[in-house]
Amino acid sequence: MRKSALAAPAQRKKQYKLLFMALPFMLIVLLFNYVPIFGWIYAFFDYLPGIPLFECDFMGLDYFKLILRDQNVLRVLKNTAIFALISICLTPLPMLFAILLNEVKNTASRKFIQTFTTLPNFISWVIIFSLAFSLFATDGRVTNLLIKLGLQAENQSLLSSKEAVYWFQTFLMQWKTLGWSSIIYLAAIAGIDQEQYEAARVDGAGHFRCAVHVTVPAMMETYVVLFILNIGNFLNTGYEQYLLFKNAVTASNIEVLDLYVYRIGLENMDYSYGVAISILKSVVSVSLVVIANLVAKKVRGSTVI
Amino acid sequence: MSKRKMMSVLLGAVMAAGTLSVSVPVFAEEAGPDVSQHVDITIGGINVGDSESSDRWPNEVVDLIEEKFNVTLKCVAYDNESLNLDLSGGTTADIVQINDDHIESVVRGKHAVNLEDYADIATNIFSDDMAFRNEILKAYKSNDEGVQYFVTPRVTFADTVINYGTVLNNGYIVRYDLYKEIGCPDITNDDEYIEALKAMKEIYPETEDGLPTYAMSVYNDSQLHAYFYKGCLSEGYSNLEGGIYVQNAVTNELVPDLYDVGVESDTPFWAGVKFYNKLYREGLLDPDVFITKSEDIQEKYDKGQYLGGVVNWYYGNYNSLQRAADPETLKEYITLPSHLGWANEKNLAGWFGKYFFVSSHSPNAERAVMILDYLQGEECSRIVDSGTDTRWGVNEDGVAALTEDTLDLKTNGARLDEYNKSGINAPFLSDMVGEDHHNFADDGSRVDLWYADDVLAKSMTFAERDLCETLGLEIPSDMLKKHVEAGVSIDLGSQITAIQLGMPTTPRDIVRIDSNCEELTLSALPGLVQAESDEEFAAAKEALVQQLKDAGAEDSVAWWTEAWKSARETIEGMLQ
Amino acid sequence: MKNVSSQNKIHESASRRIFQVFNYILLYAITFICLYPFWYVVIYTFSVAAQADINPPVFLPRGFSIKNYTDIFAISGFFHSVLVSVLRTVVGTFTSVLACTFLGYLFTKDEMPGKKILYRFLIMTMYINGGLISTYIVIKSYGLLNNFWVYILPMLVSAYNVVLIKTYVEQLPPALEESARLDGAGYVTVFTKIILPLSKPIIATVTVFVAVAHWNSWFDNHIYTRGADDLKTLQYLLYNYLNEAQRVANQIKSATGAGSMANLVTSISSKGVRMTITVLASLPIFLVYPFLQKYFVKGIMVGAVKG
Repeated sequence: MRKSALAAPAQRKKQYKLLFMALPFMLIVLLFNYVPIFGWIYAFFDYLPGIPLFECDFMGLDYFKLILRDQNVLRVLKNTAIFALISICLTPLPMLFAILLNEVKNTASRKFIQTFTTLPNFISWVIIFSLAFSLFATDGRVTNLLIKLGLQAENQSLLSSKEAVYWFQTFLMQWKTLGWSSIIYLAAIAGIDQEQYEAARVDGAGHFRCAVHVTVPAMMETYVVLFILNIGNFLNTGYEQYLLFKNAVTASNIEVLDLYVYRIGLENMDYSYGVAISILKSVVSVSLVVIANLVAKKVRGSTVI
Repeated sequence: MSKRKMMSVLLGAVMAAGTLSVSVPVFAEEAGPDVSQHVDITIGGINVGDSESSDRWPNEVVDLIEEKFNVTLKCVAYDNESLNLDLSGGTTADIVQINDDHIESVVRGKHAVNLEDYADIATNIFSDDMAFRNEILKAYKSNDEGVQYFVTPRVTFADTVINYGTVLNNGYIVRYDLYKEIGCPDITNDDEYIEALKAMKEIYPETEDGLPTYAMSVYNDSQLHAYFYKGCLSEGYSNLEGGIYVQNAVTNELVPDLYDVGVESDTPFWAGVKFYNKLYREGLLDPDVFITKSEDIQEKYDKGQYLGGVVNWYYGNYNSLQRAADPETLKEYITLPSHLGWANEKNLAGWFGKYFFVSSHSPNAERAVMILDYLQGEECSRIVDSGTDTRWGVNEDGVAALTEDTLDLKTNGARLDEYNKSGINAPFLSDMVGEDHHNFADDGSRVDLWYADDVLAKSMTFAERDLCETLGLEIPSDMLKKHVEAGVSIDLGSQITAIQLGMPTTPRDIVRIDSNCEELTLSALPGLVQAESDEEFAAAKEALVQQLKDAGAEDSVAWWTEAWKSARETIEGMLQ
Repeated sequence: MKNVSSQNKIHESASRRIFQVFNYILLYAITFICLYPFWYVVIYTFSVAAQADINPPVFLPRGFSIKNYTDIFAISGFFHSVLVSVLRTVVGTFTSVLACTFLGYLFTKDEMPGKKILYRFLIMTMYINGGLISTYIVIKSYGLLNNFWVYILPMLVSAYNVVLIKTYVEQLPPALEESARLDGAGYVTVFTKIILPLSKPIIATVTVFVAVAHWNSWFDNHIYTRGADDLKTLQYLLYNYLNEAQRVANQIKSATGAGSMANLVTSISSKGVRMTITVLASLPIFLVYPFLQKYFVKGIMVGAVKG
């Protein structure tokens, strides 16, 4: 019903007024997001920051060929994929959290939970590492607890466990972002027309069925859009967390693509190679979003973007 | 008559000089460059801190420089990222300190002024004592232009005789109270050291607060440094950056450190790994050895959980806390000499890896050159190390020396604030000035008066004095002297650090290989350090060496060996 | 409601009570896991450093001291940097929320020519960037280096926030807008009179996102306004303390001057100072979030707007 209502004005005459209103903002986007893309040209030169481009040797596609020969790429891609797949599987968590929080009818409790679960988002990774060290090192508080519970052997630490690295880092990431990411779903719940609940209750729906039939569908649109946008960020894991938690034991499993690009660009000063990888990353991201969007069109009948 | 005649001649000469100076531009030189306008001068340094976040900036020394040149001085931190941006935008600080990674960008991108254009201002930079340093920089850090863009700090002059200082910085570290309790055994190698650590752990298995004690841990935030540097000390090498290659401190040969195929004895890295492996097998190593970073290590030193160590960087806090609680405490970490005493380092061309230039984008380039030149000179080196001239004076022999008050200032905990204000050995400037601490001034005193031979014994703590009494020494560093005389130890005296300056920029593909080798080695560490038997260790090593080979280590070795050979030949030629 | 059979009601309330109990336990457990580390940070900052370093606090500070805070307040330029941060947060949030909301609304209009292309053009900015160096050169050529507006303009239009708003607005019953349009209201009138009031929850959300992003941003200061002391933001001032340890570690790798390392390492600011920075960084959430939370609590009543 909603879709049909939207479909009707689509046939309406084109309104150029709307375009003119949007243009100033799009100009900002052009100036700050698109003009800098000229920097991709550095991937085709042997570029050293600080030297005019025309004085640098032209390399053609050499850096792109290097990606194919580079044995690290496969390993870091594997790591990136594992982290990304786990986190994609966990994308419903913030939504679930929002639904559960919505069931808390005590306003004070609700506000308390809502506010304090966002706190980890404000703790920078540097501090998180230092907290994690005091909790999870071999003599850390949580480690001692785990040893007592018989869940861990002595003189072991989650921080230096090669096997646990994927789960442990994912846990930290979820801990940091869960409350914060749920905000958007709380907004979506707040945006539900109360009449829909009234109607559902009139039909004899209990709380659970209200949640399933009213709350969840109302959030699905947001979820699906964010999900598709996230698919595009498959390779963009960031590097800070992984840089801090990298050590001799975890090194080979924790190095993700972004961390590798960091190493190339800022530790090896191999700027052009770093740009080449970034370009490929962008291409992959955009392709993934386009594919996801096409799939969404097949499944739902309408594109998301 | 003759007197009057002389007077008139003199007068005439003065007048003539006066006329001359008005008519030719010599006048400008006599009056010195114009500093009447107050300007801001910023010194940007890679991996150096911000002066704004330092409680020791500004200080008396900074005030003096600011007044002298009518400027406001500030230090800002660069990292690779921000420096890249400033170079590509042409927006660098007035004076910039870089490392080897950026030399090519700066020179080819024309970001530095040619210091020779300012030769009339930069008299300290171009003084005779700096001639060798300048020659090296012109030859190797100018992209073959033969021009001088850079200066290095802490240049050791040819005639400088270096002493070992009061205490050693790096070597075999022990908690002195425990070391004394086990009878101060002489330690000359790793095995003896491990025995001593074992004995110390036996009598001190846990701290007063009930925390377990360990021999030591590893600072993991500096990649492989903890491993190869330990080995450098016990095997007699100094490391090039990254530690993938090391320089023999006696023969000045370059040795591949990680990929040691064809090297007879243990290279530093492998010696270091073996050392930690032994500690592990003895149960002495911190179980968190792979995750501790500098701050965690410092914290455990603070708690007294470590019995030993390799470097003196992390226990300063513990020592001062113990001293504050009890001025006559023996609970203090001290450093005993290892095979290589990290002393007597002759940096004839200055420190390696720190190059200062004046930005060509600076609106006040002339003033910046004046300040850089002042930093390079003897006067500034003296005040940065020893404080402004209120802190020292000339004694009966006509030689400069620290005052008793200044000696008290450094050791008296109650005067900490005043010490910080004095600017003595304050951060930033002490890594910038041109002269080595040990260089001699004209009056025969050392540039850094704290290194005067008769002052060394005066700045000892109670524990250090106790050590000297117990072992019959003048100062703690005499232990190294004894070992060197006995032929057990060596110092850095024969090392030619300048060869490192003569190395060309590492090509991209070699950098990539080296970086991969470093990563592979890092990942192999757990298997090596935690090997339960010699066979297991050998197998892990074999596997790693094979991985390094596959990663192209042999190409890297070939390039480095060749480049080192030619750099060494030319530098040694220049030294003769 | 009255139609619901009483039997059904009783049945529901029993299972519902069990659910509620579990729900509370679960949510409070999560809250505890989120809150405790932060609480630990807070009590650490109020502990006496010498005690906390050796014996970290558990539930209450070890001793009591506000030295960490006085140390931080004593940093030269601290209050000026607070001012800059507040200013950029207020100006930046206001302009960006307005821009994103309006643009988000425009993108719901199918009658906009080239809508799909422009929208995709915007979305793509989430996945492609030209790299830092070219961005820097571009910003420099716009004359924005060491300029306050470099904090505001690049963050003005955020694709992510536009998507959030567009998605939300599309969920609103179209009938409302249709009737207003029929009454002759223009797009701007519809936007201010109908869309804005109905979109309070999402606007509150985006406001929180943008405000926090502005408050926590240090990188633009680090990159674009390093030369201007009077534009130094609080986060950048504090960032320098946070990353001291890593900088020193980097310096260790560059070999020379081993003797002066001890001097450098002990000069690293204490853990307490770094923890204090964390507390300060999270302040805005306490200042902003509670005020905006009322927009989350109760769902909108479309009827109210209609009337």
